[in-house]
Amino acid sequence: MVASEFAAVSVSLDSRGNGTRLRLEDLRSGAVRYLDALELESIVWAPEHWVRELLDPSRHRWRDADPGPSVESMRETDPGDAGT
Amino acid sequence: MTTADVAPGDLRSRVGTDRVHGSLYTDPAIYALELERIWYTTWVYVGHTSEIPQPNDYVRKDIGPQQVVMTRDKAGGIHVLHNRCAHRGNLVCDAEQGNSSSFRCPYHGWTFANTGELLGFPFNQGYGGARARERLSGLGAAPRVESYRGFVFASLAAEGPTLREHLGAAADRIDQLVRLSPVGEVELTAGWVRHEVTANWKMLVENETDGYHPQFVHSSIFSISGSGIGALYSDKSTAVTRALGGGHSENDLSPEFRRLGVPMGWAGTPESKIPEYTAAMRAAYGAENGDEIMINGSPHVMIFPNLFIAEIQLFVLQPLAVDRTVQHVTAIQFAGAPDLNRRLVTQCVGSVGPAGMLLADDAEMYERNQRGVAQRRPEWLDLSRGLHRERTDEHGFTIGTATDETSMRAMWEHYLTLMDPS
Amino acid sequence: MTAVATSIALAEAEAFLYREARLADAWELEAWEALWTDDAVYHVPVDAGHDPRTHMSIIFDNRNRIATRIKQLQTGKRHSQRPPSRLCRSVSNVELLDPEGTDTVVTSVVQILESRDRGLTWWVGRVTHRLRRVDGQVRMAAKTVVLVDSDHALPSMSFLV
Repeated sequence: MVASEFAAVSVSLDSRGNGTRLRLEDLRSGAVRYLDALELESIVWAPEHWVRELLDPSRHRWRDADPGPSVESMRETDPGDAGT
Repeated sequence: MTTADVAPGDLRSRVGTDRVHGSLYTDPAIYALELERIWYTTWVYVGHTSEIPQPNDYVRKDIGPQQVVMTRDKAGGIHVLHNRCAHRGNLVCDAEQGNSSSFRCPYHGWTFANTGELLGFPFNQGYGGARARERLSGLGAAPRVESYRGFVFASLAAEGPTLREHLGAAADRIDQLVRLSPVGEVELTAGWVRHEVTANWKMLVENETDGYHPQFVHSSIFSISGSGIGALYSDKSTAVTRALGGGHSENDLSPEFRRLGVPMGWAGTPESKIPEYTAAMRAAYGAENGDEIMINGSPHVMIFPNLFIAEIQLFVLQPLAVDRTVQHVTAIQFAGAPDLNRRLVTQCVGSVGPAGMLLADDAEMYERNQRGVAQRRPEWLDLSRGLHRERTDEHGFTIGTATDETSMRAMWEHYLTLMDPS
Repeated sequence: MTAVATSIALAEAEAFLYREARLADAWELEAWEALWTDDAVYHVPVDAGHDPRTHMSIIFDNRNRIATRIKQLQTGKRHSQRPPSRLCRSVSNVELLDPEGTDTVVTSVVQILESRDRGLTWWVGRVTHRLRRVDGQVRMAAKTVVLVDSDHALPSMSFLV
């Protein structure tokens, strides 16, 4: 888990697919995102201001119009996990 | 109570060469003026770089009653930020320390970089969009932050003397301390004990380099531990009290340690107990220099207004009210000296803090003094000890004997230049 | 000796804790000191999660330093205890935990009211005792007091907590 007083994210490797990917879960909301190797590589190469822009709360998460993907749509849905 | 209650000239009439008026410790108007003219103006010690070693580390600190966050940004720059959201004034950081590139206020989600810059706020249409960032404020930041050998100081005034000018000769004492590490670095990584006293902060500043009190206040522990500290502060001692300028002062015990001539004799630690450390010191500085450094010992220096380095421990003073002061204390740790460091923690814990065998008794004196000074007569506190035998040393500093009040007189002289600059 | 003979039952542990509390309140210094084993550790941490050998504590005494602490009080010149604090403490919530080797581990809550010239101070903490039978007598090999406010600035605390 990577946590601070501002956020808590569970980090794990998911290898149920044909290749390994990173699974990130925002423990405060339950939202989950997977990142594959190429996505991760791209993040490594992204400029510093790109990360800073993501930190703007209005950028994606708390915005007035065009709310973007909801937490629900990002929640992982895997019948194999049901009941666990 | 406002600062207007202190009339011009009032202060100069309350501080004499050989005496000081009791109201300086008890008058809330004076305390309010001290916050403005000393604590929020001059360089104040905030923390040490070893407390935020990695990019994006942060630690909560204070400047008197002001709560601040000391941060290291991704590029390594150090910032001292007020812990106050620019939106509604909420405290932004709760944790004592952590690692984060940015801080998000729990109240409405305003988010700030660890440089203080405003990164954004939720539902920004309410402010007309993201560009509102340009007109809205970031976190308040100390306008000047500088460090000397890892010791980070901040000034809440935009202009004034540089840190190096402020430290003056006290910088040499920090050098003296840091040289006791074989790699030339001090680390403040042993955590803090916080000890609160019902006393004015200047009672503590004055006591730190008062060589007159140890024989009386600490006789209980000296008498049973066989400690030689008491003898260092006697009429027979060759130690001196030195005014270093800028309100800083020291008890220079090195003449006594040189007389003893034993490496680490100042720490009361026989070489056989710390063979790795003494070997590392000789390897780093050469046999002769290494021995000299280990013989001369660590400084006992009060760096005005809030940093007290007392040989093996470091105190940070924090005034909270005219009669309330917190001492934050930690054992000094020397990089590259693990065997010595463990002993220093043990030794320090026995001496300092609420149950400390030395500091609990100092604290008792501060508190008795605060109650006593509130009594009406004779109004003044005497500062004359050793005035007639004060002299100037070969470096031009005013010195007195080990038990003289040279340091207090120098502190008050500097106090006036800050409090009543006219 | 069998395990049954060495272990200490709840009632006996409680009696020990009450006695220790009474001796400390009453400034029966020698009797209080005699309760410790030779390998004793007396610990009041700032942060119970830290190693006291590398981190600051409020008290971290081995047997020698416990003796020094007592001697200092006995000099009559320990200014922070001149005059001695007037104390009254209550011990409650006593439970036996899993033993450590042959030592019995007891947890309890202590509340101490201290009266001095400066006023009243209320000290509250969770206490862990490691008790051992030595020559038929219950002794304490370790006592740890985690004060509820140990992470905050505390006033002087120079009595035996």
